[in-house]
Parts: sequence; structure tokens; C-alpha cells
Amino acid sequence: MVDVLIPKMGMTMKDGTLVRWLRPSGTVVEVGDPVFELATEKLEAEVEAESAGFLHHGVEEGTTLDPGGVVGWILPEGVAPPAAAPQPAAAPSGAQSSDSSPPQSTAAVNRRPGERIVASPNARRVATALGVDLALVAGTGPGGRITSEDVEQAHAAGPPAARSAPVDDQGRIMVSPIARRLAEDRGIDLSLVVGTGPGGRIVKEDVQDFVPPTPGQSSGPSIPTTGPPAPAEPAAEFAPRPEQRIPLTGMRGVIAERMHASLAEMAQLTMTMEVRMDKAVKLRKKLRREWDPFERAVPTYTDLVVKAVALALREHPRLNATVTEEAIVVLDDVHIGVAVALDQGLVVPVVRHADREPVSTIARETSRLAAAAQDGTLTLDEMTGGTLSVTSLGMFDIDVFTPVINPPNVAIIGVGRIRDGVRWKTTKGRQRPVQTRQMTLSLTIDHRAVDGAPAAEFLRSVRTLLESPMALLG
Amino acid sequence: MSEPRHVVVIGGGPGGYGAALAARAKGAQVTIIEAERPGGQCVNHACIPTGAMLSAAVPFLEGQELSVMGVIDLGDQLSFSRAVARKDALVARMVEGIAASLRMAKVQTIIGNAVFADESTVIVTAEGTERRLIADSFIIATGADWIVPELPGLPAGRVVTADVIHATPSAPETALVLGAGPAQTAFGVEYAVLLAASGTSVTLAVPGPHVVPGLDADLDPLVDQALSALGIRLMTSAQVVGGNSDGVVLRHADGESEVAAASIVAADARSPAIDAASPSRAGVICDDGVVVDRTCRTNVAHIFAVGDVTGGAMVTAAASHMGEVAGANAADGGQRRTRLGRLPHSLHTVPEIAWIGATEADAAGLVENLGSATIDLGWSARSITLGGREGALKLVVDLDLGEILGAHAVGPGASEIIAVCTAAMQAELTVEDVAAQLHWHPSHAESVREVAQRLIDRR
Repeated sequence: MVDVLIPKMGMTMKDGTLVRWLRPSGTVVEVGDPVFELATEKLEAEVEAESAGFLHHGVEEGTTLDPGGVVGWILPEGVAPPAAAPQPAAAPSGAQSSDSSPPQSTAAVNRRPGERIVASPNARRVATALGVDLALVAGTGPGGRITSEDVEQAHAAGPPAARSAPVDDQGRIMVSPIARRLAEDRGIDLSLVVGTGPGGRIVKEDVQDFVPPTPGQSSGPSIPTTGPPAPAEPAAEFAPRPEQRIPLTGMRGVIAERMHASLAEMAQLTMTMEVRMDKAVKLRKKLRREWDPFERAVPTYTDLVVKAVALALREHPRLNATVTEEAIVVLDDVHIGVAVALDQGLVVPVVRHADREPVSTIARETSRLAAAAQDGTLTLDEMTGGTLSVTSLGMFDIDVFTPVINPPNVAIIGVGRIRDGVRWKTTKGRQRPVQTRQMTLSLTIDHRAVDGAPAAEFLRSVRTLLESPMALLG
Repeated sequence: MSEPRHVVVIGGGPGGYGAALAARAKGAQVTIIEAERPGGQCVNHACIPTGAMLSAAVPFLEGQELSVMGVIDLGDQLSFSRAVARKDALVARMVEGIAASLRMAKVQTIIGNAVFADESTVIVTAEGTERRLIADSFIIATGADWIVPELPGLPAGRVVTADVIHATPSAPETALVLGAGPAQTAFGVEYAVLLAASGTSVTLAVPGPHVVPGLDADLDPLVDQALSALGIRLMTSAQVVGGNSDGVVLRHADGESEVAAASIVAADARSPAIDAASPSRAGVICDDGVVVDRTCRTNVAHIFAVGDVTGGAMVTAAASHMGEVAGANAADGGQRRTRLGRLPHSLHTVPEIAWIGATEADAAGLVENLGSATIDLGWSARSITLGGREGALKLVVDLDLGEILGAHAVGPGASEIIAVCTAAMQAELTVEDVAAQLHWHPSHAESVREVAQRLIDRR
């Protein structure tokens, strides 16, 4: 039996009204069929069936219930709906209908064991090829049918490392005998447990690690939305487990506060530029050959960018600045912050006078600072006073992003992945493609302090330096 | 769908070639760089040569028994040099098999050295030329290095690592085998038995209180007795304190002794080859080994590490398993996790020794209602048909859950018995499931069912 629920749509939703049934009681519905019209203070939406079967109305049109309130049921043929009608929201508060809506009734991807999966033949083929479990894929095609795009999206979103209890062809939950016994001992509902064993089956460890979903977080059936699917209300199974909650305190809290303040206070604008890195790649190779034997630190690509940015800032001092309430203060010294990712978050230690220091010193300094950051031994001095930051996501295969300015700076530059590109070379009047190494720089500026055109000029200076990198060694 | 990822595997041992094949199976383009020969330490210097040598020594010892009874007529000499030659041929065949499977899977194999230049590039030196390989993912599988231990009063030249034993033309007259390396393996027992069968007068000295670390202490007497019967002198809690030109002085559980040792064999002195590929240049963090999580990822998300180089158990079974997990994850960005909690061990000696999981002592504090049962393998039908040698099988069980926590066997068929237990434990079968199994008669596997049944009857 699957309850049809008033879904919780957003944190502030207090209650929802079933405006109109879209299917009569007793009719057959498929997954994804619109079932009823819902109205809340803020929006109106059609609520879809999350399983297939016979729809039974539980309440009259116009009934208002708390989120999670049961308005009806989807049942197999010949099964009678429960007698007790759900209580309207007007009933004593606190008596949330969470009792009648067990947390497992949820999102589109959470099918019941044995439920028929509607998928296109191509989707099935793609699912087999990618090793995606169709039972875990939300369908967006007609009538909730799973399309090959859905499968590809589900694959991209993560491996099929089971997100909820895996079921076999017959709809039985796949679980090892020991895991089953342990779940019985502990009174754990296996349908809520994520399986990580062979073929995604539930093993002892999964039951041991299981943390029950927090009550009151069950949401209703899937909601068709315009625009991207709202990640807002996770279904109970996918609700954050307590051990995964990352409190907004300490470093994480500071980052949250500063980044939000940064976006709230500044007028941030990001622009990107392609840089040909062929010469920089060659230069690094050469430096490795020449410097390695003498144990001179060979610069990383980020180090080269740090140096290029520092030199370019001399020509474009407007980007080496701080905005105060009264004025834009252009700074004399160039200190470049270099973002280092840690488990707990991000720290931005500072390379002092990067415009004056030789690149080998910068290389040594960034690796020393990165090590200190990992060890947690950075001093306050090492983390403050940066006049512009460089942040790299290249190692995560990111090409372009919109870095967020580190206040009180007025700009930050993002370093993308070094990748293969193509440029057209003209020989004897004919154009032919030549392989080239490329990288994208993403510059975010505070539009209050700098305009787009000078920012673009700055970025072009950085590019020029990186494309003729011998200048960085001077 | 996007282009296949390029995965570079550094090291062609069991972890590396396992990873390469797994990544290939997931559609990645794979390059494997091996410094020496495909197969790595396991195939070229450890498991396979040892196994091949023991496959001469063990039948020889069994034949001796029949010979004494006059059942067969056998000489009293094992030709060590011929065993070595046979071993070399078998190892070559294994190497070729691995090379062929890599070839057939269309894995590009380079014999050369690879070191990281940065997090996305390795520099490969092969046949005097250097080239750079840029890849989406890297798998570090550089294995372990033999470390000759420094022993007081003994020049380093007198101490040999296990790989050297396989390559000598004849067995030494006397030998001291130093068991258990940093990873607490028991391979020293294999070398002791091999040498004893080859006519060497062997002393086996182990640093801990047990000859076989990991094996339930109840079975220790069987091991001690069987090894003593081969003429092996055992010393536990032993430490080398000095030596002279042909002897070694050891302090051990029963005092101090000088033993004759023309050859000193450091059986499993290996240490993770952390720096072989300079992973620190890619920002990879190393501790005693390269640090990885259960998906085999290092702190750098697209760089993985598997096997001995990560420290831990430092056995091939673990490396292969990690390789399969890492290879698949590297190819598709997956989050598959290793399951190394139930890792079996096997010594192909006389007697066979094998175990998996916890000893009774290990498990004592962990579960409320611990049960164990031990049966005498000497009376199993299969053991009797094989000559009636002694043995025992012990099962350690959480009686509340019916979970088998450990299985330990010494004697006929121990490896086969533990293989059955391994399958049951990894599938998380209950002790009742195991008692309900049906096996061939007479077979070693029957003993597993029997000991499980005994535990149930007692409950």
C-alpha cells in the first residue's frame, strides 16, 4: 500500500490544500500520472502518483492537511483502502500525520518492491550498459516512463551504489542472512537500508551503520516542477544522516559567512579567457629537467598563474585594491592568496610580494604553505593580508567556474584544467587543425571597484604572460 | 556518452594488473607501466616461486612417509637445483599468462619507470627515452621493497631476503629463518618447511609469541609439533642479539641460544615502496604507506593506490581485491568500496595451515555471546583416506547472530576448508546455513558442515 500524501514543498510550508482530484477514486494510475492539485500559501502544483495501482480518495476536495498528511492510497487490485479517514490539519496541532505516513513513502525514485518499472527499451539498454539500477531512476518521460536521458543523468549523478534497499526481479530485498538477522534484532526496517555489498545487496556493515531517518522529514509524492528539480526536501531515505550533518561552525561556518557576505555585499561579475599553455607546459618540462637535479622547486601551473597575476597586477593596480565605505583603496604591495582545499573547508594562505619573488621561491612557498595548511600549522599572519586570490579546480577536471571573491579583495582568479584543444594553423594557404594545450582562467571582479573592460585587460595581461612564460622567470 | 577515461597504472603486480583489467572492463583506455616484469613481486619473487618450490617439497615429504612404510620406493634426496629450474619455468609461464591477458584486454604495457611530475602527469622512462603521460586517473601499485634488516654483529651480506632463496642453486646446510615482517605475515613458515624438506637444518625464529600470527592459539601445539617433526627448531619471542662467522645468537622465550646458520633468511622483510613513483609530487599524502580510503582513493581524488604500497595486510589477495575496486572506480568515477575485513590466509606447508577472521581471543571482548567449537581433522573420512595425519578445525561464532567470526585450520585440507569458510563468511551465511550444506564424501569440506552442526547442537 502506498499513501498519497500532501508533499512538503519548502521549509516554510505549513499546510497544503487538496484543491481538486485529477483522477476519480477507483481508477488505475501509473507512476507519474497527475493525481491531485495542491495549493499552498506560495504555490500551486500537480502532485504525481509515485506508484502504479488503483487510486482511492481519502479526503474531500478542499481539505487542508499538514505536509505528510494522507489524502488517499494507491493499492493493488481488490485491496480495500483503510477505514479510518485521515484527520484534517485543523485537528490538535502536533498530531502530525507522520504516524500514518511511514517515512518510506517518498520520492519518485523510491519504488516499492515488486512495483513495475516503466522504461523505454533504449533506457533499458543504456541502463545495462552503464550498470544503472532502473529501480533507482526517476522517470521524466510520458507517464513517468524512464528515458535513456534519465538513466544517463542518474549515472552521472553517482554510481548505482544503491541509494535505497535493492530489490531483485521479484521485488525481494537483497540482504545477507547475517544482515537480515541483525536488522531483526535491532528492529530496523530493511527497506530503509542502503546496500553496499556485492550487487548492491545489504550486508552486515550496512545494517550496523544504519541511522534511522529523523522523523518529520517525510515528503510527499513527486511534484512536477518547471525548471531544475528542487533539491530542497530530501526524501526520508535520502535525508541527511546525522553523521553527515556538517555544522556551520568553525572553519565551515567562517567560510559560509564570508562567502555569503561576499556575494551579498559585492557586485560580482565573472569573465573567462582561454589561455594557450603549450609554452608553459614546455617550460615546466624544461625546468624539471634543469632544476630537479638541484632540488630547486619546480613551479606548478598554479604557481605560474600566481606569478603571472602578480606581475599583471603591477600594470593594472585597480585590481589590487580594497573597497571601503568611502573609497577604493589601491594597494602598493602585491600579496597573492592561494586557496588550499582541506577536508574541513578552504584556507587561503598568502604568498607575500609575489610580484617581486622569483617563481622558484613562489613554488617553494606555495608547497610549504599547502603542507602547513594540511598540518593545520598555518599562522594567522600566513593567512591574512592577501590582495588577490588564486584558486584552482583544475585537478578536479573543472574548466570554468565562478570563484567567489575573498573580502576585502576586489578580484579572484580561478585556474581551470589543462586540456587538449585545437587551433587552426594556416600553411600554404590551407588551414589545418593543430593540437594545443589549453586552460581557462575565470576572473571574478567586484563591479563596484572595477569595470568589465579594465578587468578584461588585466586578464589579457595574465594570458600574455602565461603564453610567453619566459617572462615569468625574469 | 563521453570519451573513455585514460587510466595510468604504475606497477604491474597483482594490484596493478588487477586494476588495469578492471578499468579496461569498464571501458577505460589503460596504460600500465611495470619496472621489471609483469606479475610483480608475487609472481616473480614471492607467492608463485614459493608455491612452486613447495609443490616439490610437500609431495617429497609425503612421499618420504610412504617410502618409510615401503609403499613406494623413493630416494631420500630432493634436488634443490632442479626444483629451482622447474620453478623458473613455471614462473615464466605465469608471467607470460599475465602479459597475454593484458595484451588481449588491449591494455598498453610499458616496461619502464614512471614518476609523477604533477597531479595529472607522469614521466615515463623506458628504453632510455623519456615521455610524459597525461591521464584522467592514476593508480599507484608500486608494491613493496625488500628491506634487509640490520642485525647486531652480522654483516648485511649474510642476511638474505626470501627472493634470494628461490634463486640459489642449492639449499644451505644450516639456516636461520626470521619469521614475520612488519606486516605480521607467516611466510617464514613456508621457507622453513621448504628448506627443511631440502635437507637444511633449520631454526625458525619469530618475534612474537606465536609461530603463526593470526592463527588461533589453540592450534599452536599442532603447528609446533608438526614443524618439530620436520626437524625445525622453533624459537618464539626471539630477537637476534649477536653473531659470528657461522652462528647467530638469539634471545628468545626460553633464554639465549647460539644457532648455526650458514644462511640467514629474512622471510618477509618488506616495506611499502612509497617513493617509487614520487606520489608526493602530485600532492599525495603518505604515512607508513600511501594513505587511501575504502574506494582506494588517495587525498587527490583522481589518484588511487592499491596493494602493498598502501601498507596494511601486504598480501596478494588484498592487492588484487583493491586493484579490482580501484580500477573500476578510476574508470567510471564510482564509489565501490573494498571489503578486506574477511581476508583468508593460507600456508601451503606440511601441515597445511589456513585461517580467516578473528581468533577466539580477538573476539572475546567484541560480542556478548561468543561460542567456539573445535573438531579433530585426523578423524575426518578424507583425512583418513589420505593417511590419517593430525589436524584440527576451530570455528569462532557470535552465537546471538549466528555469525562466523573466524575459522582456523591446521592439517589435511586446511586451505580447502578455509576456502569454504571464506565463501560462507563473505556471503554472510549464518552458522545454521553452513550446517545445512551438503558436500561430497569423502571431502575436507564436510568438516566445515560438521563443526557448524556441533555449535548448533550445543546452543
